Amino acid sequence: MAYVAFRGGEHAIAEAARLLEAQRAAALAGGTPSEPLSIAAIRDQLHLLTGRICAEGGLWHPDLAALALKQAAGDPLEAAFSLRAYRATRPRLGTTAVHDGRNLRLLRRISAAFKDIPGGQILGPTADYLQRLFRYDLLDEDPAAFRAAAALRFGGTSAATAESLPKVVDLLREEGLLPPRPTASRGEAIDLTREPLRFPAGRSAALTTMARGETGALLAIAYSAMRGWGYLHPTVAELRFGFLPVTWPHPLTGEPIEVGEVPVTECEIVTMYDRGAEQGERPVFGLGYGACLGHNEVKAIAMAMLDRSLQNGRDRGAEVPAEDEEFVLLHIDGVDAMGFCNHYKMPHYVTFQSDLDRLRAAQGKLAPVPVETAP
Amino acid sequence: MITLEAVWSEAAQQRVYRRLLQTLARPGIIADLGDLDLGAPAWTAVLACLGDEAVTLADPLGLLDARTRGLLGMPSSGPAEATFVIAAGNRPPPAGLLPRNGTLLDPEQGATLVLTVDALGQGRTLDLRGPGIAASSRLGVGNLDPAWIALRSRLDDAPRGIDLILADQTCCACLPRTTRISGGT
Repeated sequence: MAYVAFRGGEHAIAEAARLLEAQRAAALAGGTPSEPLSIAAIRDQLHLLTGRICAEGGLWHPDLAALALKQAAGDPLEAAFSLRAYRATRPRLGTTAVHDGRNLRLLRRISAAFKDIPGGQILGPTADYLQRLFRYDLLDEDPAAFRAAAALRFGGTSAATAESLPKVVDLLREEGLLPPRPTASRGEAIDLTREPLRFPAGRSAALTTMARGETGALLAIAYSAMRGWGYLHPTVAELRFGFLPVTWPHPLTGEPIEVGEVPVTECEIVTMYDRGAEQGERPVFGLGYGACLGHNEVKAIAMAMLDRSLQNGRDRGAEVPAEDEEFVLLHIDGVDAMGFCNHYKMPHYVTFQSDLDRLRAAQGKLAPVPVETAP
Repeated sequence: MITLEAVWSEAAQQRVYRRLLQTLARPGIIADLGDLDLGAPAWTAVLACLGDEAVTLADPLGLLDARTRGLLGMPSSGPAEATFVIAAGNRPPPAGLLPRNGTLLDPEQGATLVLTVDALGQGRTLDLRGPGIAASSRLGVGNLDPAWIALRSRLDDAPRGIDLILADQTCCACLPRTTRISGGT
């Protein structure tokens, strides 16, 4: 049997595209095609998914995230790829000032560290307390009931929440249970869209990489540290979801003006990492931070967990995979990983021919093995 | 209310981008932007589409007016350091012009030259071969000074090199560094 490289295939590729389009429209499944999905329906009713696509795409654009999902027939990796590619075509107008999560207009805010926190726990929209039972009524949803549900709106807290809803970590800091906030500037944040990831990456690059990371990948590595391939037991000091006002300097006055807001999930975990005691200093909790676009609590918690693990790895050397910066950061980007995985489908005729040649040469040095034939 | 020409709108820039992408992928193809009613020459459309505050522009001949420079938002730099250089293709390169052609580790740092030309599809013909071209392709470029092709050859040290975008009033075409050019010199 011979393997040879070939040229051509344009017609086959065009036909494959036609079949893909037919599959997207569900015609391959037979029966009556369903109605085309509206972008608004995907954007609004699958908002957790479109939020994920925006986070991985690095661009808050729910309409295009919904379009990306629609044209990718629901493949989140492909959708994030499309959005990230689109993002690269957009002009960069400048860089905003640092935005503080304390300014979130909160829809949800909980703490697993204290039952009573100043301002109270705000459950907001959550599936935490639902039984995982099918809602068969949604099989044939009553439009009137749907509209009635949509009419219930919770606008969240007012923007000025810093005093009435202080952060739990700030309270811990006041008691000296966490390291003080660094006062000196740590320099510009790393912009991974302009600079490639290089190691040692540092915390800024790590947080940026994780914010664009794929939820499942982040969860898998963080879970390894939670279950035993690590030494941390995190406590969620605070988990917040809300809308972060985005400000931009006024072109004439330079004063920051609000130009919009983006939904953000933010999480801070504290861990019983007693570094100070080892060095004869006052022991304090360790702190891990996670934040991402959209409402994605699993991602924010996993990111905070990994942030803490990576800090430990930087401080005393990585002992488990979740503490190893290269291991974590090089394997959590969905677009990267999907592209590398898919590239194996591309023709490898030359390299495989080389493998064949070497294998046959190696076999040729041994006595021939009789070929088995079917009875 | 300030009204800007269409060339500065997101929608128009996306359309320009897609056509430009085709001309990069298929050297020899001429993208006609005339139907977009951009209200600006094609070379301005190319820069508006590709440029922003993160990349630099050198305009050693002063081809762009101050308003266009302001709207592009691209910081100025010398031709040797610029990400983009705009110059007149019907004149020889300015004396001493040597755009950057990247490094072996970062070949993408090679500059992109946007050359204004009299008319694409007419005049001297360049014969093109290489990636994106089935066998060979031909590109007519009105009044392109052959010294530009010579400069491109001088900086060609694969994967290092420079990429050319030729633009007249309404059309543009690309000569990526991977394209082999004969004729026109």
